[in-house]
Amino acid sequence: MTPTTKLHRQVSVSWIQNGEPTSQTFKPTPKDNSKVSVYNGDKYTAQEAFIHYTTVITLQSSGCVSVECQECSAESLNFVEDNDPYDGHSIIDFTGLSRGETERKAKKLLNLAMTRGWMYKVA
Amino acid sequence: MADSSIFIKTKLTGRRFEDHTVPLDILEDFGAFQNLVLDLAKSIYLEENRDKKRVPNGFSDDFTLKLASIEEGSSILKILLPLALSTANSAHTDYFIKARDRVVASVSAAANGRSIGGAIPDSLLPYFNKIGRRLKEDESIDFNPDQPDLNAKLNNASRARLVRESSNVEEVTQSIRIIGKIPLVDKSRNQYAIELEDNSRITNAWTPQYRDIINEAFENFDEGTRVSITGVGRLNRQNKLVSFDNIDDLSILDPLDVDLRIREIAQMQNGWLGGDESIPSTEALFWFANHFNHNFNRALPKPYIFPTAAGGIRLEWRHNGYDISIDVDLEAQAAYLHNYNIANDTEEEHDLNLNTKTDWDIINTSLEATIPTA
Repeated sequence: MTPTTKLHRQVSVSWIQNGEPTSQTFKPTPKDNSKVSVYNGDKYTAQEAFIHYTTVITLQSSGCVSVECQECSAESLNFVEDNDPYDGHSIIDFTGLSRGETERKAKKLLNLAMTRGWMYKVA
Repeated sequence: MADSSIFIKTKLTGRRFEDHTVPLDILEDFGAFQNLVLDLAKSIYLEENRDKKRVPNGFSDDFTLKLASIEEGSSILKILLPLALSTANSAHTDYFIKARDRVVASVSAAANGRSIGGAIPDSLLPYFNKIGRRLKEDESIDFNPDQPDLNAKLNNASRARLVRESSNVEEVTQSIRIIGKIPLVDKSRNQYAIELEDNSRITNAWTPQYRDIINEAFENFDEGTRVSITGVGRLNRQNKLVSFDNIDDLSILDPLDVDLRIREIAQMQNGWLGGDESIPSTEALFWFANHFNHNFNRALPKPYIFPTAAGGIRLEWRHNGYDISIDVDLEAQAAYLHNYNIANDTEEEHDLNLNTKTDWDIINTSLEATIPTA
């Protein structure tokens, strides 16, 4: 990964209202163990990530939004490609952050991603 | 009854009546009650006088029920019988009193899940399609409030039982609000189609006062524009809306309509994120919608609302560099507000009890400071 490598995040269909994604998109859920799953953009384009997510992992997605590795670093968020459970699987690590810090960073990442625009979106 | 001029006392219950006033559309229903009592009195006369083919001349002369007063205690209506009929010498008074008593007993039977046993002829049961047709879901008319154990309450459920005891009636009228789309306008037939949430369609006669709204909704059908329609609808035996008798309001729905969004979330399936995420109960969601509608400053923009993986809901606003969220724990009836200014990286946090007005005031104040009101 390089500083400008994209990290693709899938957006659940239930997390879209009137075309707008929730700011929970980059926030870890209780089962995530503080680690948000993303796709390594060096191995997947946004569309490839979507196809893998919906056909191999067989989960629903409205599309992909993305942040760059350097944007995570600017927020003091560690990221790593752990290739578990599939090659190219990566995580953005929110471990050790308070409730407010988690919200701030998740909101900031979404803001960066939406400024960039959808990298892949279902019609 | 102690005061011989009081023909019947009724009590209206429901949120609309808590200020001790009565909407005029409800008063219309008492006109139908009067007509039912009159026709039933005639029927009882003929039952008891089988040698007669018709009621005597003048039977219904001076039979006019009048609203005397609206008392406190939700809304209690005292309805009087004119003195000419209320005196002991009136030959026909007994029939009107028997008719009244049969109506009250039939309402009580229906409210308690029993058959009315023919107390009201088949042909007169359709009157209950007019009496109480504008009652909302939380409303009832108690026809004997002095004897609460009889439960002589007319509401949408007991009305439907009464109407459907008639072999001649297939449809029940009821005050209803629906959300739908307008997929078709047929000007040659002066009608338009309404697509309901289950994708079925009903047809309605053209309503000129809503022409512009109907056309706008039709033209934006492909964009998913929805309308809210309130009025008196006709429901079949499967309780499915088949048509409207009257439309009281037709308006384009705000895409962020909170009640609509709450209903959408209620209809989502468990496991919606691919794991074991649950959708909150309908009861909890409607509890929240009710508190939101009562406490949220309506001048503020409506929120986006999403389910959370923790089993609650999350309200969001993004405006002018602020990203505001409220995570709602529906079980605890509590919330966490996070108001974040992205540009200068400042935040405001509150833990809230949604059962207290003061904490709703905190929500309103926080939003008012960051988002312009209408």
